[in-house]
Amino acid sequence: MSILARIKAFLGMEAKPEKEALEEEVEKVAEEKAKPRIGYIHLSGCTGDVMSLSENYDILAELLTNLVDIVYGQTLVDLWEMPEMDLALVEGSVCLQDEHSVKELMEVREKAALVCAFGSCAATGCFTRYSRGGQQARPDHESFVPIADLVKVDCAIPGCPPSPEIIAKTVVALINGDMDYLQPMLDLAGYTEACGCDLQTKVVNQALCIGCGTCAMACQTRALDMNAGRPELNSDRCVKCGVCYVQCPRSWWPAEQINKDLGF
Amino acid sequence: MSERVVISPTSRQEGHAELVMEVDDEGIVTKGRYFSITPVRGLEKMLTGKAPESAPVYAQRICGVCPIPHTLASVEAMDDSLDIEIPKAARQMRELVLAAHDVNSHAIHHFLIAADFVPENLFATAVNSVSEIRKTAQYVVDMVAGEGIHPSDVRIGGMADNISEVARKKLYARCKALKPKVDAHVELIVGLVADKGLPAGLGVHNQPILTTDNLYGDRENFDLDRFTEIMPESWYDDAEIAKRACSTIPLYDGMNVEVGPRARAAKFRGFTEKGVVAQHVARAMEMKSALSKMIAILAELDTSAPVRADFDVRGTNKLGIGAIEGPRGLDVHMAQVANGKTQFYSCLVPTTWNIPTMGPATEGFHHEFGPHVIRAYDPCLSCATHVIVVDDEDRSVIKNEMVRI
Amino acid sequence: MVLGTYKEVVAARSTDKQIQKIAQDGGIVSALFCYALDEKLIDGAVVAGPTEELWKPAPTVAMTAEEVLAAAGTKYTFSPNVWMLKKAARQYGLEKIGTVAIPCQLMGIRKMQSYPFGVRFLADKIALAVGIFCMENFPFASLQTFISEKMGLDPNLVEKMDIGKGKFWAYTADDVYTLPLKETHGYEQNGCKICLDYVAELADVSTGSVGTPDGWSTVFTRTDAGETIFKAAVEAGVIETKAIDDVKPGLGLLEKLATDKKTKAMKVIDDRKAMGLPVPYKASSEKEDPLANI
Ligand SMILES: Cc1cc2nc3c(=O)[nH]c(=O)nc-3n(C[C@H](O)[C@H](O)[C@H](O)COP(=O)(O)OP(=O)(O)OC[C@H]3O[C@@H](n4cnc5c(N)ncnc54)[C@H](O)[C@@H]3O)c2cc1C
Ligand code: SF4
Ligand code: SF4
Ligand code: SF4
Ligand code: SF4
Repeated sequence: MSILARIKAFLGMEAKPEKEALEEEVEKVAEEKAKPRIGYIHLSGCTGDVMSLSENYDILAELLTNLVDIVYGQTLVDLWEMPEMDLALVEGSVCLQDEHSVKELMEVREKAALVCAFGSCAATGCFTRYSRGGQQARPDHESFVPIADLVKVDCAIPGCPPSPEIIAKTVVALINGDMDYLQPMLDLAGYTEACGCDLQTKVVNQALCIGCGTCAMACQTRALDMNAGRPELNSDRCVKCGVCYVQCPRSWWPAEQINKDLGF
Repeated sequence: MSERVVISPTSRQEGHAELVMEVDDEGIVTKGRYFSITPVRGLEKMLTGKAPESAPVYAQRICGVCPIPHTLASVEAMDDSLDIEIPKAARQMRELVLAAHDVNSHAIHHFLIAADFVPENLFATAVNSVSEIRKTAQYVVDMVAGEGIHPSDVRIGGMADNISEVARKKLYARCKALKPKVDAHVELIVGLVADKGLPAGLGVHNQPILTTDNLYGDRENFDLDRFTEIMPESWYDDAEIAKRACSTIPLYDGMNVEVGPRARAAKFRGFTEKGVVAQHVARAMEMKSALSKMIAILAELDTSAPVRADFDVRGTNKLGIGAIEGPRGLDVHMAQVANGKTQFYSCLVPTTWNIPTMGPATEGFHHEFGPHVIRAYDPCLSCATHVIVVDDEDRSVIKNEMVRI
Repeated sequence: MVLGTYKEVVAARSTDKQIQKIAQDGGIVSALFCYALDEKLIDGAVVAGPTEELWKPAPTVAMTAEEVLAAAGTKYTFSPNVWMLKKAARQYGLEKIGTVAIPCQLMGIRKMQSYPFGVRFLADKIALAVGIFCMENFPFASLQTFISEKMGLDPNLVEKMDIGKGKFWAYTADDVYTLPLKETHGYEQNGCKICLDYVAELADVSTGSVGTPDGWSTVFTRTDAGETIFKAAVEAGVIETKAIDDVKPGLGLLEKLATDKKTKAMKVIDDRKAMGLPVPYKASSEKEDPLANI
C-alpha cells in the first residue's frame, strides 16, 4: 500500500473501489510534487499541539520523513535565518510585551506562504485570554493575543489541542491541494474572539439550537453540560478555545465534504 | 581568551531556554548557566480570585508535554486547602494516570534523545518501540482521565467518573501485553546509552536531591519551611542573563537541587550511580516500575466504588500543598482557598528546580558535552536547539551545530 | 433527491416478539443493536434511556440487550445522544460504538468525523449510526402541555406516545387519546424550523414509521457499513423484510412529507437570511437543488 493510502486507511478515509484509479493518480501527483516545506514556530503555547501531532503514531514517521519537509523547528537551519516555508504552523498566542515573539511572528509572516494558527492559543488566544500580568519573574508580561491580531493569518486549526486526526487530515489535504477540505480552516482564521458563550449568543439566542449535544461532547475541558436540551456553560472551566462552536452543526455546515466522506 | 558557548533552542526567536557556558582554551566549561526565556503567561495570577475549579484546568495548560503532574499537583493542593479526603478508588485512578504518563513521557524522551544514542540501523526499531508504548500508555490516560493531553476528568475531590468494568479489563489486558515490550525497550535504551561511551563522571554534581515519593508524590515529605525562592537577579552573576531569565530560582535548605527519576531511584530504590548515564538508566528503569504499578492498580480497582468526595468549596484559607513526582521531577503546587475563591496560587515546576543545577552540572567537561548534560534532565523543552560558539571579541558565530534538547 | 442517497429501501420489522411488543414501530433500532452486540460488531450503543422522570430521556450507554430494550420507544423530547459518545469511548472503553440519532444529531456526528478539530480519537470509533426519521422535536414542557392541558391526561398513565396519520397519540393501559397535529404546531423547538432532513440522510441505516403499516418500519440502507450490518441481520433472521412497493402507504407518502418539510424549512431559511439572521445553510437561490440538505 502506498503511504498516502495507508494514511487514508488510518484516518478511515478509504477510497471507494470505483474511485481507486483516480485516487492513485492523485497519489502519483502527490508523490511527484515537491514536498511541502513546513516550519513549526512556538510562541506562548504549551507544546500540547505538537504533542498531539506526534500522536499520529502509525503514520508519524512517514508523515515527517516522506510526505513533508520540516525545515524549521526541528532540522538544521542557520541560527538567525528563518527559511522560506510553504506553511508555518504557529503554536501559542503572542505576548505583546515580548519583543522577540512579536518580531518572530512578523518574520514568519514574511517567510511563509501560508501562516496557520495551530491550536487555540494561536487561533483564539485560548486560556491566555485571562492573562493579566503581575507574575514573577516577568510581571510585565500581561497581554496575550491570537496571532491574527498582529499578522494576516491564512488558516486556523482550533483545538486545545487540535486532535491528532485533524492535524493529519489537514496536512494530507495540503499535500493533495484539496482546497475544498481546507476551506473551513481558511474561514476559521477570522474566528478569534471565541468563548463558550458563543453557543448561547450565536446559536441558542438565534433560534438555531436543536439540543444535539455535539458541543458538550466536543468540549475538551468538560465546561459544558446539557440542561433541558440546551448547552449550559460552566465558565469556571471554559478556556475560550472555541471548539464547541466550531463543532456545532448549526455554526457552519460542510455538506459537500460530508457527502464526499460518506461516499454519497 | 575566554569564550562563551551559547546553546539556545532553535534561535533567539524561538527561545525557550538558553545554556550559556564559559569555556577555557581547551573548551572545558568553567561556568555554566541555564535559564528559561519563555514569556510568563502568568498562570498563578490568572488563577487568583477565580473559582478553585479553574485551577486544574488552567494549570494543566502550563505544559502539554507534562500536563498530568500539573493537573494532579493542582487538585491535590486544592484537596489539601479544602481538607478533602478523596475516596480510595479515586486515589488509585490518580496514581494510575500518573504512572501511565510516566511511561508515555519517558518514551517521548527516548524519541528526543534517539539522535544521540541510537545508531542508524536501530533507529526505526527504537522509534517504533516508542510509538507502540506511547499508544498504550495514552490509551490509559484517555480513558481514565478523559483526555490524553489536557486531562479533563481529574477533579478536586477525586475524579469525574469511575471507568466501566469493560474498560478496566481491557486496560489490564493491554498493559499486561505491553510488559514484554517495555522490558525489551528498556534493555535497548540502557544498552545504547552504555555503548555511547560518555566520559565517566559527566554531569556529576554535589548538589542534594529532592524527592517526596517513589512514584506518586507525598506532600508530607515536602517541608515548606525548608523552601525558599529567589529572583534570577540574585542568582545569576551576569546581569544580562538575570534580566532575561524568566523563571524564579527555588531552593531547598538554601541550596539548588536535582529532582527527577535519578533522585527518586536514589532515595527509594537504592540506586547509587550519578551523572548523565545514571539519569538515563534511572529514567528507563522507572518505566518498568510505572508499568508494574499500572498493572497492579488495574487488577484491583473497584469500578463500582465512588470516586468523588463531597466537599465544601468555601475554604478556610489553609495553605494547601500538592506534591507530585512528575516524570521530570517534583512538581509542587500551592493553593489557598477562602470564600469560595482562590486567594493564592503558586507552582514550582520540575524543570524550574533543575534549572539552577543543570548549568553547573556542565562544568569540568568539554562544552560539546553540555547538551548531553541538559538532555539527561529531560527539561521540558521538546524543541530543537542550536549550539553556537560566539567569539567574545567580534561576537561572530564561529561554530553552528544542531543539537536537540 | 428528497430521501437522500441510499442503496436500498424496504419495509421491515424485528422477528423478536418481545421487541415487537415494546418497540415504537418495527423495532428496527433495537433489533439492529441487539444483533450487532451479539455479533460483536459494536461493543455498546448510545441510546435514549429512561430517567427517573417518565418521558424525559437521557443519553445512556447500553452494553447488553436488556439495556437496549429498556430504551426502546420514542420520546418526543431532547436526548442529546451525541454528548454521550465521548464518554462511551473514554470511561466506558468502547471502541466500536453504535448510536441512534435523529437527523440533526447525525449532522453533529458526521461533521465531527469529517472535521474532528477538538475531538480526539472518537471519529473512527463510530461503527453504526442508526438514524430515525424526524419531523420535529419538542421541549419537555410542550409535551406536558399536550398531555395534561390539551388531552386532560395524567402523564404518569401514558404508556406510549406516537405521531402519525395527522395526529399526536397517547396510549394508556386501556385507552387511546389523540390530538390533531395542528394543535401541536407552535410548540416544537425553534431550531427545527430550518431543518432540511426528514429521513436521516446521513445515517448508516435510517428508519421510521412513515411509509409502512403499523408494526412495520421503513428502512433505508445508505452506507457500505450500514448495508453490510442490515443485510447480515436479515440473513440471520432477526429482521424480516418486504418489498416497499408491496406495502401501504409506501414511499409516496414519505416523499410527500419529506418534500413538505424541506419546502417549509427552505422558506424559513430564505426569510431568516432576508432578515440578516444567521443560518448555516445556503439560501434557495444559491442552490442547484433547493431541497438538498445543505
Ligand atoms: C423526536 C422524534 C420525532 C420523530 N418523528 C418521526 C416522524 O415524523 N416520522 C417517522 O416516521 N418517524 C419519526 N420518528 C421515529 C419513530 O418514532 C421511531 O423512533 C422509529 O421508527 C424507530 O422505531 P423502532 O421501532 O425501530 O425503534 P425502537 O426499537 O423502539 O427504538 C427507538 C430508539 O430510539 C431512541 N430514541 C427515542 N427517543 C429518542 C429521542 N428523543 N432522541 C434520540 N433517540 C431517541 C431510543 O433510545 C431507541 O433506541 C421520530 C422520532 C423522534 C425521537
Ligand atoms: S491551544 Fe491548548 S494545547 Fe495548544 S498551546 Fe494552547 S494550551 Fe497548549
Ligand atoms: S452543538 Fe449547537 S445545536 Fe447542538 S446542542 Fe450544542 S449549541 Fe445546540
Ligand atoms: S465551552 Fe469548552 S469548548 Fe467551548 S470555548 Fe469553552 S472550553 Fe472551549
Ligand atoms: S426536525 Fe430536524 S432539527 Fe428538529 S429535532 Fe428533528 S432532526 Fe433535529
